[in-house]
Amino acid sequence: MGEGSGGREVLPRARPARVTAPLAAALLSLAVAWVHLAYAASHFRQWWAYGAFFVAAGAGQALFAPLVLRRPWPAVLYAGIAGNAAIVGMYVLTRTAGPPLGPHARVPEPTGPIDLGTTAGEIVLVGVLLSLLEPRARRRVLDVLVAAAAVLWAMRLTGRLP
Amino acid sequence: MELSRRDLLKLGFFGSAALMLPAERIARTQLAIADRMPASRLPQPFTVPFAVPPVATPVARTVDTDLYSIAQVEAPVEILPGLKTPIWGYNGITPGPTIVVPQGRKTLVRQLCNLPAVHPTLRYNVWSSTHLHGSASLPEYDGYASDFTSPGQYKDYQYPNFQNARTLWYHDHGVHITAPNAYMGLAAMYILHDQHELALPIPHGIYDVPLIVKDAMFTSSGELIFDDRGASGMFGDVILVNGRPWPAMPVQRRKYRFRLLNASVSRSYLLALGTGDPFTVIGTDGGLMPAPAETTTLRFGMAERYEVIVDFAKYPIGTRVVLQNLGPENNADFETTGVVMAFDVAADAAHTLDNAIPPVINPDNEVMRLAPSQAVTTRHMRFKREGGQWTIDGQTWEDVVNSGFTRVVANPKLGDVEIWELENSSNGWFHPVHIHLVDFQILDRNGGPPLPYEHGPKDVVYVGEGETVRVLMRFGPQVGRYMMHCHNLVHEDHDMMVQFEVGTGGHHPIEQDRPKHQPAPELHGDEGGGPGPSPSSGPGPGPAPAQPQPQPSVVASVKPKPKPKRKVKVKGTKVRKRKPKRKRRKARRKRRTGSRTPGSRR
Repeated sequence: MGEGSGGREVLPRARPARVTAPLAAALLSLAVAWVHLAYAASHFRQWWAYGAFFVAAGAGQALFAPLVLRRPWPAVLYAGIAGNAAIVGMYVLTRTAGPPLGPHARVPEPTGPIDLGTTAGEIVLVGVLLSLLEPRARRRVLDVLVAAAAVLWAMRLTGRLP
Repeated sequence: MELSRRDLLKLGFFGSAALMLPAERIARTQLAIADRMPASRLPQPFTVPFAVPPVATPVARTVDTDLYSIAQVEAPVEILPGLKTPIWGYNGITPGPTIVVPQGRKTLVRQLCNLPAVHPTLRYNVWSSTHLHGSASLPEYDGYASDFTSPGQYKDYQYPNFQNARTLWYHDHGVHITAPNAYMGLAAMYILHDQHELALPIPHGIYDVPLIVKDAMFTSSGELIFDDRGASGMFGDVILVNGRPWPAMPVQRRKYRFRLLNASVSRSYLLALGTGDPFTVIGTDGGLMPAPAETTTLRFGMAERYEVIVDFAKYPIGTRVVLQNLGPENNADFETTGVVMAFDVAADAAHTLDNAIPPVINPDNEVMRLAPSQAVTTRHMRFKREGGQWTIDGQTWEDVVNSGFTRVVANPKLGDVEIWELENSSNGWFHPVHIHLVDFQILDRNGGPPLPYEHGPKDVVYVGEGETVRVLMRFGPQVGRYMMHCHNLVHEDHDMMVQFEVGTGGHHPIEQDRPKHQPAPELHGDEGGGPGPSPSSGPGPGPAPAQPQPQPSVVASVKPKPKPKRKVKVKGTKVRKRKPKRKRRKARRKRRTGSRTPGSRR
């Protein structure tokens, strides 16, 4: 893709990406889905809603894989980005301020390599999905993500986020 | 990929928040561990003088109650020479001030939570709950983990003190954060005397000495490091006694009574005198034992209390007797954790009264007179790690929370005697199990007799690796829901805690008396005060006052105010009612008239 001043055109050499990107997105989505589903049982033990969240996240990501592979339409891409960004947001919340509800409410959960790796996978997944969007739409979405990250950092630096 | 460099930067910024904010806590811990003070820079053992925590002074007294006000605050204190360590302490010191009270006199302890809203390095939201360990308090004053007080709030805890003489301690019990809170310093001793104990010829006064043992780890700048090793345990490389690293205590050539309290988060000790000489255990968690027990080693789990008598009369002046830690298994030992403190024999005995160990000490202790045949039920509880969680019979505190605090593992009737079998089939962990409210008798360990020094009333039992321990107890005297948990506080925080309910209709541990927002109204007692605590004076002649004198610098903030502006009736205490103003004036006139000698003029 070129970096023109007015917009970013999809050049012919990028065309293979239109094929490989959905495949990469599907594989990444299946991988993170597997982690969520694998940890659903232990979270159910803690509280049904924690477990339900994990099942919903895992099932959503698992179902998203064939969908993005077969129909990488903008609506599907938006849904994938929004869903994964929401999961990432919840992750940040649980590791800093603690879950908002349940028996561990307001107690930050310990951070470990598996959950960090999964989150990294979700961020890459968001990146892959973004690459499938039209440039203008992609910019808009990225601006929203940047704004969200700026809010998080500002909250942390001002002490509003532990 | 079709992302531009700018797109990647934006995505990277999003990723930085998503990954770095969660990783910050572990990064801080790892950095702190990397910055751990090297052993070469730690103070040499026995170079720091011994000290005893000050005794708290009541802010007021009523006819039957002493009123205390204690603020939980962050403060810099010198633990390692030349360095300031930020701690959280009751009244800003750690261990906090000792509360001393005679049997039968109630106490009200106001706990003002003035801690920071967020832990400085672990970044968790802070709250506290104060448990008086060893007291048969009402459920709402037992430090129920989920009955927590947030910064800016306070709670008035009421303690009945009707139990026999014993060594108690008050410490944090806030749900999920007990380990770091207690590690930061929220722990202190509480001594209950009774006439029987004071009449015994065992050491009293300055010869009755608290030894609060705890381990800690420091950065090179003196800050505390908390590393729970993946929720398994927190082990420090510095052994503190009464907040001092490996102190040296000068002693006289006579018997001393030491009140040992293991206030460590996860470390157990195997104590022994460096001379190999025996010492005598006379008391356990729930007070004096029926008869003394001589031993050369003492396995000492978290939250356990033992009263031991060491006789220094046999050592010549100039002898140093080292208290060693032989290190029970499954502790993380360091080269520095093999010694605890030293006793330097410095003088002949100044007093020789109360210098004996009677062959029978406390034959009438109710719990030690219980017989297994009185038990109406036997229950079995398994302490196990399952699915990354510490569980009791497959249950955790989460189950209690999820049930709306109604789920219980046992529901004995008031006055029922029961046997509980506590099983730890693991070889990798030990669990000091604490059953709230009750004292119990240890019946056996794996079918064999308990250790010789365990033949006393207990409220914590060391359930070692591969052990099943049977304990016998009578449930009461309160009704309601009480906790049972592992006193490895890291295990407790990761939910090795359940509850049982005695009888029915007990007070709700959370709803009955919730913490209130500050500012708190002043505490006022009677004008004349009650009889006042005589914590340490034994009957008859003897050495000077039992406990160290109050240190004004520490208790200055809780000094009684001379003129109360507002009178607050404290629930559960008797406050004398003031007469109406007119009647008071009349009485004053009458007194004046009556006090004049006949014919005198003013």
